[in-house]
Amino acid sequence: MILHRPNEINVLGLSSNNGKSDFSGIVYHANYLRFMERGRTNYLRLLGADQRALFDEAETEAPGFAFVVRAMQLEFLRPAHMDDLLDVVTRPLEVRGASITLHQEIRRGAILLLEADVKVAFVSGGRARPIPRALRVAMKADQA
Amino acid sequence: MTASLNGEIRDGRHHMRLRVYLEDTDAGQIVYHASFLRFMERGRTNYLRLLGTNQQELLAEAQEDAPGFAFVVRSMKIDFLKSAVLDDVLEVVTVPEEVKGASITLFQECRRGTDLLVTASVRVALISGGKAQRIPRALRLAMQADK
Repeated sequence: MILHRPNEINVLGLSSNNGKSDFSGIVYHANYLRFMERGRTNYLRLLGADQRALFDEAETEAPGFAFVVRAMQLEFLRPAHMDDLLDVVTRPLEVRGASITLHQEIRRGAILLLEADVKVAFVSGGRARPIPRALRVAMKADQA
Repeated sequence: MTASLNGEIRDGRHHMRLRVYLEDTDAGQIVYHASFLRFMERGRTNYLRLLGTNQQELLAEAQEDAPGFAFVVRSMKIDFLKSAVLDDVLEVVTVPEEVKGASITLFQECRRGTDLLVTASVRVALISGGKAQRIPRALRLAMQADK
């Protein structure tokens, strides 16, 4: 289940006790960014799980690497509510030498709630670096 | 005291200062990207609050035109230029960019001194009774006066 739907998010678990939804029961806009980061993290995790060598290679080329968000464009189309079960869909849009643009959607069933383009850069040792080849190749293979 | 809490409007721009606390940061004590959205919402809220206190009747009139009104974010375009870290004192600057009948676009900046850290263009719409509504004239005029 976890492997098949790694990005499924239960808003109840996120919102009821943690102040993640406001008094109206609507999800606070900044929390969608948390949901999307989980989507990106799990996407990377699965790329790594699919290709064990990938993260080892990235780690060798750029020790202590991380992705940082450089720019986002967000369209909030409809609100999500407490108890909603949401899907976060993440796919690479543009894979370049030092940055990747991902397209992300948050859906409730067939209903699109939010659309985003997220540009992330690869950072290691506090500085922007070229993205290791293995990671680029893995993402390019996923591009539509 | 209240003035410093709410920030202030100077030359049509709302300025608000805040300090970065541990809860705003990630594992590396760098401000988590979603935290900037919370900072900017504070800026927008205090800007509206100041518009309301500067013109007492404004919010009352808005309340009459659109009971239980609230602003919701429709779209954002954000550039993260530099990072902020724990204990930084940041300034959030908010200025109306485009004031239309049913939506307002605000331009916002997060700065540390002269360093520009984050810029954002934020389009908000007014909803009342669960539906998008025209923005009350008094509010539109108050923001247009700031442009």
